Amino acid sequence: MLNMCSRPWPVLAMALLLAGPAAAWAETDEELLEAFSAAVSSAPEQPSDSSSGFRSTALNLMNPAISFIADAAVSVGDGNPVVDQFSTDHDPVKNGFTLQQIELSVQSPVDPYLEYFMAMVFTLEGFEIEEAYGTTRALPAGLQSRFGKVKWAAGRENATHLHSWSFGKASLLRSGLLGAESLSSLGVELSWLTPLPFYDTLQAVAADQAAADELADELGLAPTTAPTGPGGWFRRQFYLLRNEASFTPMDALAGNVGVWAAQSGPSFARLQWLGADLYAKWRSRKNNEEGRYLALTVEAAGRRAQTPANGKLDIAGYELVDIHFAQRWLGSLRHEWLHQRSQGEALTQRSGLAIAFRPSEFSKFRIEGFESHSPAGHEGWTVDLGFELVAGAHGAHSF
Amino acid sequence: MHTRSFPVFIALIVFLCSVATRAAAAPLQVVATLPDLGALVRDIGGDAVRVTVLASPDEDPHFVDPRPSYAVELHRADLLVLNGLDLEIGWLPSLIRAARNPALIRGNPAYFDASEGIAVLEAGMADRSQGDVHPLGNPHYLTDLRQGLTVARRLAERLSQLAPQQKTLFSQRLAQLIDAARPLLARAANLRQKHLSVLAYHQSLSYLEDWLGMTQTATVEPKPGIPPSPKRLVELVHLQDSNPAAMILQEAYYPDKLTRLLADKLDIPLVVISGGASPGQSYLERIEALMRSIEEAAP
Repeated sequence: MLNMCSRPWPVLAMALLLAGPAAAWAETDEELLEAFSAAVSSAPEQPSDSSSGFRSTALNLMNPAISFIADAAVSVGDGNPVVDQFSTDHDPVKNGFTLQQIELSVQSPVDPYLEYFMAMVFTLEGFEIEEAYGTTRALPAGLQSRFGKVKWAAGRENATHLHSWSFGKASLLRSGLLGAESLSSLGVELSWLTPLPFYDTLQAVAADQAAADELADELGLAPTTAPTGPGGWFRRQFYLLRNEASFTPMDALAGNVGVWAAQSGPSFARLQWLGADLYAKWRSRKNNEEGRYLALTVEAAGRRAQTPANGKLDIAGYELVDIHFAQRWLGSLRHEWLHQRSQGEALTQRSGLAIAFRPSEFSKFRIEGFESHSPAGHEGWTVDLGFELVAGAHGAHSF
Repeated sequence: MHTRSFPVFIALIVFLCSVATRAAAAPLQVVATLPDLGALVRDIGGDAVRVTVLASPDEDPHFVDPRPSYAVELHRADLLVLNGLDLEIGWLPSLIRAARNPALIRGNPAYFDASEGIAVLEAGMADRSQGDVHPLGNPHYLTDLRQGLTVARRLAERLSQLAPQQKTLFSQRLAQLIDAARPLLARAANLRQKHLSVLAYHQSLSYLEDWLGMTQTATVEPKPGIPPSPKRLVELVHLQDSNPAAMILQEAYYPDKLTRLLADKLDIPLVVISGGASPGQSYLERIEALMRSIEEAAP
């Protein structure tokens, strides 16, 4: 071992090397401060600790960000049941008024290591915890974990909330393949931001398969004997893998591509999904255009139930175009389809047009119309007038 | 034993020095949310920093697209410089979350909220019936050179903390920046003598007005974030009779169709100022261009 005490010269040499810049700083510091004081002497004075501004800052930093988002609609239609058949509990489907939901969301750092998010949804029938999870903030090597009740990243729409959609109704892909309440359950997700030069993440989820069981029950699949013995618990869970990458071919254009696969445990017949999605957004870089944009979302997925009688692949997808064509105005077009090969090749299609107007960042009015084509050749239509009110914190949304 | 270990010791010192030299030579990776902040970082950091700016000058800083590529930049960042006062609240938190950079947590040296140390205007109790207000105060302080210099001083300290071997460089460049700002401060004093009254598009020019001694007669937007209606324009035409403004000031990223119409009707100039420093432009060049456009429009 080297004895640093008996040979202090290397330490002294290093200290002298490091002391150079510090000495230079000290020489100029006084002059600098004098010049700086003169330059900013006419600036407004700092508020004192007792000012209302300081107090409101402190309160805002310590409190969680809380927001209430109310979505409601009034609908008219021809009563064709094809629309009702593939709807979620929050879709406006009846003729008349629907309180789709009131979302209470809470977000806050917990400590230097964790962040907390919770979204509770109230309807006239009751309430449910839509999401409640912790997110790590300090894992190394681009790793991140979420744990709790999460809307898993089974495509783009499944992981999002009603207030971020272009339409007030869930797509046929979500309601037909993923279930009325989406694929969300208690579990844990580990994701890795890979060291590639572009944004690329790998996500792996292991979760309770309550949502998948509910869906299997809706599909009329028979319960099976749960696996027991060593590893039985692991085989009873829901697993999902997703890879998502971004692209930015030019300054005005950016997007994401994702592929995912999931599998439920065999409480009922095992369900398997495979999906892919694309999101591309062109945004005007011209001055005075208030960020006008054109966005394309395409999503498709397939689901198979592992039973001898019902093993065909059901597929669904949608194409969505959003056009921010004027300040405060957004137009959306969506075409969607659900091909139930397991149900005698039934094909359901729906096309929708929506125009949304935002008086401000915190309120939205939307009129939307749908035309549906059922497998039996019936056609149906609905028109919804929806509104959304946001009170509280200004939430940030992902791309 | 000691004789044989000496060459090993020398080799270790040489290795450590080469590693230290390489570390010293590698520029700090800095991500700035706004163009003006990016310009300040470049002005202070010089070649010792590599700056990525998220918002472009033609982008409204309230509504920046949180592109995933920005998360990659943040993941690699040694320092994040943000405006603060909730200006980036709609897009930066989701990016920071996606970046998975444990250093980017408020209170860490790598997290630089430029608004700390700013004398914040219009802070206090507010609610959304007053429009899209910022509860922590007006966040548009970077058009005031005095506030910009306050940020520059703190930035030099923070960069020195993160790259102590470059402290002299940062100190010198800060001194140069302050020295170069003197003529602009003198020009500002001249402008203050004119006691200009202006009509602002958005409530974003309070700091500039405070610095240049200008009085704001009204904003073209009836409330922050609410676009003007024809009725609002009629109100402003009537207001001009009782409280005349010498010019309309607005950032380039706001729509100018109605304000051009209004300027014609009121027979006053419309001064469109850049939303921030252009790529390659220094902070002082940006402020000088802003001042020049006001000086040229002033009666």
